[in-house]
Amino acid sequence: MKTITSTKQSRLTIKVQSLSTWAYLKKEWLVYTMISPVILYYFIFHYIPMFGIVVAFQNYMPLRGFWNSPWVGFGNFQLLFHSADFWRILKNTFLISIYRLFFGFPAPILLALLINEVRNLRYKKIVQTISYLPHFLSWVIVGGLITTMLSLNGPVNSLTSLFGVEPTQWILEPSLFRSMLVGSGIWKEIGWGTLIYLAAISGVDSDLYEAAVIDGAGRLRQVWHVTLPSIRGTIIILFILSVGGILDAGFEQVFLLQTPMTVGVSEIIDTYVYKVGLQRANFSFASAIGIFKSLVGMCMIIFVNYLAKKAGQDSMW
Amino acid sequence: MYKKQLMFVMAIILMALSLAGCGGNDQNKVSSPTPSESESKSNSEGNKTEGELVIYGPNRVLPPDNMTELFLEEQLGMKLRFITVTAEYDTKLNLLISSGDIPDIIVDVGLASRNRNISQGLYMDLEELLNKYGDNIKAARSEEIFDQLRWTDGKLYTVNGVNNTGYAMLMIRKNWLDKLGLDVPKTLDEFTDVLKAFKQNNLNGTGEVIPFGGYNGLINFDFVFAAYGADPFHWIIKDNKVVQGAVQPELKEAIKYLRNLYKEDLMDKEYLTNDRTKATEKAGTEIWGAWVDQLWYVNDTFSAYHQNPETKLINMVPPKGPDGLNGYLAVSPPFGNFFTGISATSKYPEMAMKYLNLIADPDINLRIRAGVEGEHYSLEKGHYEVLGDYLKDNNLLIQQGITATMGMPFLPFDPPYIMYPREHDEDHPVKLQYNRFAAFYEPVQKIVDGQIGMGWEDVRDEALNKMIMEDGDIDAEFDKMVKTIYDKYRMEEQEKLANEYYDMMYRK
Amino acid sequence: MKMTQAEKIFHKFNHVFLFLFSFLMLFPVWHVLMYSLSDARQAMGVNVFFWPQGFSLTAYEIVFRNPMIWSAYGNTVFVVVIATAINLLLTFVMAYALAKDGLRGKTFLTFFIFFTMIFSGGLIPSYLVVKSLGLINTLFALILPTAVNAFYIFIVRTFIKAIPVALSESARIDGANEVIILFRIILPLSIPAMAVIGLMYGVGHWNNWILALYYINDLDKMTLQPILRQILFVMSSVEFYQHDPDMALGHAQMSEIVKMASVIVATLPIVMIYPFLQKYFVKGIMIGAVKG
Repeated sequence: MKTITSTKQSRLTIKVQSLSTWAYLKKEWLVYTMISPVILYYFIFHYIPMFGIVVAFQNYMPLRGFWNSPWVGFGNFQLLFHSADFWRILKNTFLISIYRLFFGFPAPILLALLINEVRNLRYKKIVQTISYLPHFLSWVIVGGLITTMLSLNGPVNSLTSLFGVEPTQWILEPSLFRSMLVGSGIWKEIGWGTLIYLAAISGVDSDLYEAAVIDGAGRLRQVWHVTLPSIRGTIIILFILSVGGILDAGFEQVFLLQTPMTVGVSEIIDTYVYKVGLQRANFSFASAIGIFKSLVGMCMIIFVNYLAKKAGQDSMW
Repeated sequence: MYKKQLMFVMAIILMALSLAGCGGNDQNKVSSPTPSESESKSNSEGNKTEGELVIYGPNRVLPPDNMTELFLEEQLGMKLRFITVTAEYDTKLNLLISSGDIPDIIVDVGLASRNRNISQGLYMDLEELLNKYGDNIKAARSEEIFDQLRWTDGKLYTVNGVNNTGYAMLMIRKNWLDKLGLDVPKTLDEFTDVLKAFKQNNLNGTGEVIPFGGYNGLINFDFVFAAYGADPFHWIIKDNKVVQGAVQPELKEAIKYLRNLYKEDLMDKEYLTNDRTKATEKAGTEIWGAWVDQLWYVNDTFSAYHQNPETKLINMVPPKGPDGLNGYLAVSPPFGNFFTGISATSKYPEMAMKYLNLIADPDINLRIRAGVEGEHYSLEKGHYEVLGDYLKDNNLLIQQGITATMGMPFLPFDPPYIMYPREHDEDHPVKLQYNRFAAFYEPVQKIVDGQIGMGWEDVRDEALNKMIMEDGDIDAEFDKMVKTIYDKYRMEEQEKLANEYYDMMYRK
Repeated sequence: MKMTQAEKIFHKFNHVFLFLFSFLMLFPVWHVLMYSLSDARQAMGVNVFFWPQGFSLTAYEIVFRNPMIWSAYGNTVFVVVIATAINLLLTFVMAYALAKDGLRGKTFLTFFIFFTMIFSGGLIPSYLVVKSLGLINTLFALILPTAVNAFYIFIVRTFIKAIPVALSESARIDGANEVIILFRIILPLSIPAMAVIGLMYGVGHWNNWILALYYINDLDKMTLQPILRQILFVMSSVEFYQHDPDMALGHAQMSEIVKMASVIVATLPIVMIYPFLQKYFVKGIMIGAVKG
């Protein structure tokens, strides 16, 4: 049966390819018509405003507008690249992002698999609902809570003092700061992240499980041989897209948790731009940094996408 | 065949039109009530200038048609519209300017925004209007202040919102001092002794006393810096030159004093992570014996601080340092941090000035800030007292919220509604160290940031806090910090720029 | 189905682990809820973790006494419902087109959309476009500029790709056109994906305060989040008013509690939607049944 389908399909493809453009459009006009609002949307709300990129090469003044503001060439970029802290900031940004990818990306997949193994439907639903709640708390609230937990007479210090550790201001420890960022980030978003994977898992063809059972596979083998391969496409696409945000290391969280003692390990591009640029309302500088981040993100995505394609996996294009 | 192609093209055009059309129609639908509303209002009231005066300012809650807004419209004879945001203040203003919807009156927060807006030509020269319609404003400000506000071309583009007064208040528990038979400390050494006494005696009954509180980092230890004649946060004038305060050697002595408090457990070790909320908690639950508070918090926190009826707090004179200096650091320029201008494109510049003059009238200013005397507040007991409960009375809450925008441009000096006794008013005037020079901090920083040395403040903050909290040799670490700031962040060039700026703006 | 001993142990372990995990997740939310129900004076300086200190609904009174709150709720619900409906339709259609085998121009379209995820012209030109369409100060300024999200298009695309081609092929041979294939065959099989994506879009619109801040000027057209932020602002954010000592609210300790109450008020309605959507993806869709 499989062979029949595939031959039918290949015949169809050949036929499609041989059509002229107009004939093809005529055949598929419904599809193109359906997607035309989306294309129009992207054109109006994304491509028309693209001219705003010129701001990065100006000292933009709102009253003078886009064409009359003074041009500064690459001055705004140089401001970042030549700043005394550029390499330190870039390193921090990359490190925090990579930790987040390494630990934060697999976490929701793991949780989704664990939740999926729960047989009791009600228990499953409750665990799921609870785990996605922290997503709704803002970092202001969570940050306050973390500070309270780690304060000198907070619960963490009461716990460690049982083991004879002197009360410490953990939040001021540079060596622990990045771990704390990544840990609290995972904690907040893990439940939210499982949603997509759970949906993907629920879309897995149940025939495949039956076939696996007939082959004598236990639950864990089913996970490895059926569930994971079936959601591989989703995992890869999400990974490719999250790699694009490599220079977005989580502004709000870092900004709220950092102190003068930990700035050295936690200053990232976004907090830096905020402090030296946006706080003093320097639009052009912020915009130049945005373009820099976009370029790096673009390169990362193209690279990872190339790797995925090479490995014969799903890819963006 | 052609028919179908035509249909395809038509379909796309239709889609496009429907999307665009939908936008246009919806706008009419949603925004149509506004003009009809305003028409009916102007018909009923009469004797009004047509159009509306648009005011952009920072604000809290501003429901339409609240009593203060109606009061002001009636006084002015013109419709007012306030555009306000609670965040992204500069961004929203830039959006309005970029798209040509420029408000008539604009309040700038911070000198940097003001300077940028003046230099792009946003404001008109106010001199003439001020002479014609600005009696109240001129009465409220000295000529010296106006001079300092003038731009490099000698024109006056903005008026200031508030004259700088000493906003820091060093609070100490008088009832604790009385219990121990101690006087209010006059010098830093006496202050240390008092803190030790606070620590040794279980004054709050819980045994957990932190004699000296701190929050939001170093900034709230400013009286210690001032006592040593140091100012790590601003450009200062020394030997007739502008220099960076953070690299001056007198700072070391102040840091040594703070390190001593830290090591002897007299100071709150969490001064970096305590925020305003924690500060209110720790002061309110009598953990702190003395701390620096800010004028703009004290009424807000009054009931929190006085849960124990025995509590008696006083606003003590900042203790003197070894050279007899005392005071606080000015955290902002002498003319404050809010600036109000009238946009050059305004259709109603005269009405705008009349409005500003109206709210500069002391009686009207008090009316919009505090409501009607006898109804909303009373001054009968010698101090300001709110009548009714803000948490219960919606009108009062709105009243409080609205004043921020409306009264912002003019805050009376020494407002009558501060609840604490000021012990030092007659005999011990509090000096603001370097008051005048703080003015250069923000614009100089802005200029310097545009070219060199961004981010050196982080180095300063890390180094100074480490000197206080860790055991290193303060002299050596200080020298290391100064060297980093000079070498890596090109402080020499920054100082050169700062002097040029100072000469251009202020050395006449 | 029989379980091996190892599997039984795993399941026990899994249940216990997820229980502890849930506790860890619930704890902060519980803390916020308990704090919001506390009495301001009693909660001062105490770590409120498991139950309220005293009991008081004053914070909620303050939030709900704001005259703007109900219109804000109304505006938010309007935006969320309309915007999510548009989002789902456009995302689904576009994702289908990008998943369709051999559609000409697919690579171009993919890149056309993908590019906007990475590069944007910035806020000011977007604002100018929205203004020139006459949308400023209307609720549609919160709907149309976010009509579809590239990220979700690509996710739905992978879901649709996972659907066996044979299903649509056989329908096509039976004479079904694309619209019929899309809504009769692909849509029922994409329900889990659409439920999740719909939830994410909806939550995004619900929580989006920054667009309203930029595009809406009149308070009666404001959505919930900016209004709540304003209430908070009255209560707490004093730093902005450093030069305004006129803060005679006299209840500093109240501000924390109001903050917590407004978090509850802002999130409870949207959080409640989730359990209703859950049934669509906790239990799998029977592809076999559709195929049969």
